[in-house]
Amino acid sequence: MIFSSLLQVYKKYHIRLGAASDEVTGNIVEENTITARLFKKRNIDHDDELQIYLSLPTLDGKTEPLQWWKMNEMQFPGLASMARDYLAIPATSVPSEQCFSTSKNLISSNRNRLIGKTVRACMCLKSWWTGPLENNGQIEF
Amino acid sequence: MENYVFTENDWNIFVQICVFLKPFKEVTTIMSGSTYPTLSTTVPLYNSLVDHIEDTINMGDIEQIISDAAEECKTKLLGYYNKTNNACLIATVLDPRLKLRYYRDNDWGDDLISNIQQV
Repeated sequence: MIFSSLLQVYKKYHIRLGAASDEVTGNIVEENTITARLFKKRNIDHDDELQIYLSLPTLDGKTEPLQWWKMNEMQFPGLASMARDYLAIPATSVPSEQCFSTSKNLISSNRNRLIGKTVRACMCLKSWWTGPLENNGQIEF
Repeated sequence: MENYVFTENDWNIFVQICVFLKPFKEVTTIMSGSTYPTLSTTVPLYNSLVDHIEDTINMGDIEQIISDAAEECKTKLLGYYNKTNNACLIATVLDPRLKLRYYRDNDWGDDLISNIQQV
């Protein structure tokens, strides 16, 4: 069933994330301050994350999925990291093939000894520079 | 030259071809995007194309030549169906616009879903 396989993958993410987040909170929260007691770390059952996500209303078509996950990362850390991986998968090879076409301009007959690493760096820079980041009016790195 | 002029019937066929192909163009454009997630909409869009083809075949007043083509198209498209894997389904659920609603709305039984996963 789709739900069980989803849960299986989610658990893997959660284990990976759990180790990292314990380190972070351990450094910040001191044991005996008033705020520490006030915001005492409650043991949240992380299986809830998925249940809560699924119980929330489905959003309308205009929502940008990636922005939504960015905004709700705090509430769904495990799912958000999963979403970053899964939603990044391109459904078709069109974007990558466009990239190959662009690389033709970079690796010209006069520059045919560029090593792969340089090509990759140049292609990434070009993509970030001319891509959606610029269209938003600002470039974030 | 009169033999080469498009007849009324020819134009009628052109219009029907156009109507038939339009959803394919739309889906192709969406799936080719590179600035937004595309995998999450793969399964829903794929199914909407299959529905569209079936609607065309079942439409009464369609030209024979088009319903034949639609039939071929269906065979071709369904040939790819079993190549979808878990990643497509998980991506759909992780899309806050779709989640499990898509599969529930379309009455995907658990059996069907697990069948697809096993292939």
